[in-house]
Amino acid sequence: MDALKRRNPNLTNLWVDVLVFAGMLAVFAPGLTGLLIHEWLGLAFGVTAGVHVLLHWQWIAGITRKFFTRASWGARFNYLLNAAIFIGFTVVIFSGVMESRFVLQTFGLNPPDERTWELLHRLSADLTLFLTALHIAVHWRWIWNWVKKLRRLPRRAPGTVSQPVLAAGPVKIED
Amino acid sequence: MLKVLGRLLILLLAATLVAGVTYAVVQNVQFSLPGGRGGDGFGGQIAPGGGNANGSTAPDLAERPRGGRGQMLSDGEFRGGELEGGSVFGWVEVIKSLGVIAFVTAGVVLVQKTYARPRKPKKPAAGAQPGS
Repeated sequence: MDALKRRNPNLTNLWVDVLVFAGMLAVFAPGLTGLLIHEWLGLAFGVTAGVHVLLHWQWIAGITRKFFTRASWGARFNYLLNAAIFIGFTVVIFSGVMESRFVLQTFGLNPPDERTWELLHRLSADLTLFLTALHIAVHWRWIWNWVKKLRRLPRRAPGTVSQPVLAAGPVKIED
Repeated sequence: MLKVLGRLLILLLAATLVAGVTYAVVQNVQFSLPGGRGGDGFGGQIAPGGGNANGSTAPDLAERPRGGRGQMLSDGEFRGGELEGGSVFGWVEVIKSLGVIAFVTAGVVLVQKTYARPRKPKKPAAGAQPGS
């Protein structure tokens, strides 16, 4: 039983968040990736963001149940902010698909020639970037604490087996 | 596993709902715009250069230069501009995104610290007697 590895949910969350953040930076820079990668990466980002939401499902369900009764104002603000980000990213991805040149063609569809989708895509992307920045800012203390904790790890336990495991795949930690 | 699938289904339903509302709003906006396409949903008939056949000043949708400086070739390939990627402008976009995040984070941290300051218990000055 000692050999069993257990998950550290906070560390899992942190690394999924890092992945989502890096993906978001890449997706928000089509000039860097090119349009083809931008479109497919945008869809992949949607999946990763979905994993991010699933990892925090218990919190979402908890606040949903007590939103109008016992939830704190901070939790309510967070909930509404997250809902806005969800709507924002859904609109960004959907409008991106509607004006896409490569994704729709892959499925044998032609994008409608409507500037509205392009305008909506840009506007919602700008707004969602701001909301995501706010989301990161609200959780800044948690992120910063984890960064400090990770930086301290090698000094705390030099030469132990758990170090490389933590660095390479932080989900599993030796007992 | 079944629980995760159920959650995924709820998530997809919520996303579909948002996408449906977005689609309805966009269709409504297009119908209400002067020179809107008015029915088929695909292939707008706006001409480039700031004027349509029907006299509308709405920009041409069918001939618009999508994706900034890119150009679509006859064989279906796209060349140039942000379509190819790897440009310096791409890194500027990344820095811009990071800048927005840093700016907002700094603002929120500043506000948090400002409001947290009065709550901190005051340390008694060195040598001061209790109660003085």
